[in-house]
Amino acid sequence: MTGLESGATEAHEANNEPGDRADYEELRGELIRAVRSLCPKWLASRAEDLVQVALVKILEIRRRSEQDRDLSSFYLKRVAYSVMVDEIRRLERRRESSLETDDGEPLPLPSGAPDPAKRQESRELGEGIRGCLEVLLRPRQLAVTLYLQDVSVVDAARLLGWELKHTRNLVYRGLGDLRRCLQEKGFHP
Amino acid sequence: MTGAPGERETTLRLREAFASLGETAAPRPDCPPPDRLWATAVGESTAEERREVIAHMATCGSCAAAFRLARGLVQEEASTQAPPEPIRLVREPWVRWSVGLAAAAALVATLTPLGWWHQTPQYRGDRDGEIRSLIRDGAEGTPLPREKAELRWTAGPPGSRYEVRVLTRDGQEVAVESGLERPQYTIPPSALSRLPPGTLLYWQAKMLSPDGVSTQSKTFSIRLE
Repeated sequence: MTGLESGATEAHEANNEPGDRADYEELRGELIRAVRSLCPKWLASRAEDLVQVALVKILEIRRRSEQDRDLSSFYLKRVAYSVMVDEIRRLERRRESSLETDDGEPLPLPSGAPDPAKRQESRELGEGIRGCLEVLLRPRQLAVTLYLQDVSVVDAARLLGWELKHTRNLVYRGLGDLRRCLQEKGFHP
Repeated sequence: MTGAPGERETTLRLREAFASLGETAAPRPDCPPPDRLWATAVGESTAEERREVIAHMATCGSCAAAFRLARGLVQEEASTQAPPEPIRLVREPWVRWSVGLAAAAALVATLTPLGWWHQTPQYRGDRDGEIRSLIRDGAEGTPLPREKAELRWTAGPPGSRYEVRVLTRDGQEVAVESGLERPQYTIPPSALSRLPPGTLLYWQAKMLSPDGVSTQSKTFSIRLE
């Protein structure tokens, strides 16, 4: 049994009927799978805490609800996602305020391109893209943002609530604007 | 739009560069909560709400990264042919569990100072590196005597120091002690005097070995006499 699997369950083992325990273990197992599927490598050491926080969140929702509720694995992933993003944001805020932890250890960065020079180059281009996106016409900005997020044009049309043809046109024109803007900034991607 | 090889490379480069913003980004005060990001990724919210979130993402590397995470999940779920059976929870037992779990989580959080989120090297002196309770835990175990409420756990390497924290189910702190030279701690009777008989206590120990390696125990419970 890994640390993630063992967790703090033993604190509760003695309080509940075997059936309840089975439900709990099943839920916990699902959450562990959800966290594993979501958790970035650099956050892996926090996985057990994330499972705990997600459990508490689910139980709180459950306690507030009047009816019994079916919890699909998709719903559990949603909760795990929410907990994960909160945790990532917390760490990002700390990283911004200090590059070291209270113990004086450097905070890990998410893994990226292995070559530092290439990584730096990529980040500079990323900054350029962000600057260009800021000045794009809003409809083009939205379409290009989803394109850069690797969302297909079909999905982009659905998410934006626009016709497919219109969305495709916006991506096309928006990318043209983006390229011109980047060239003006000295980037030639 | 990504047809020609050169164009595909450019697209990949642009996407990588855009994604790289998430590596060093910090969330902003106007970042949408995770639930809104999720609702956007799965298309649950209204089109106008989704457009607002996407516009925010255009200039926020942190939210763009969080959105990609959600999209990855959505796509993974969509590729699953048969949805797994939902887990049905019966209300009453979960209500009972919730308070204890909240306390346990609070305990874990309390004993996890900011620096602890790093990969903590595990102490290997024990069989599997875990700190184990040496008292019979749980509600069915022998109740903890008020006059000698001694908590004991497995020892680390010679020279280790220990910290212990004890809370009630609702998260009230009963006792906390650090700098212990031995893997045991007796809760002062005065700290227990206000607690009714049968109170379930949650406790956790932390060990700091001489070489600076820290190890945190699971959350244990014991019922008070």
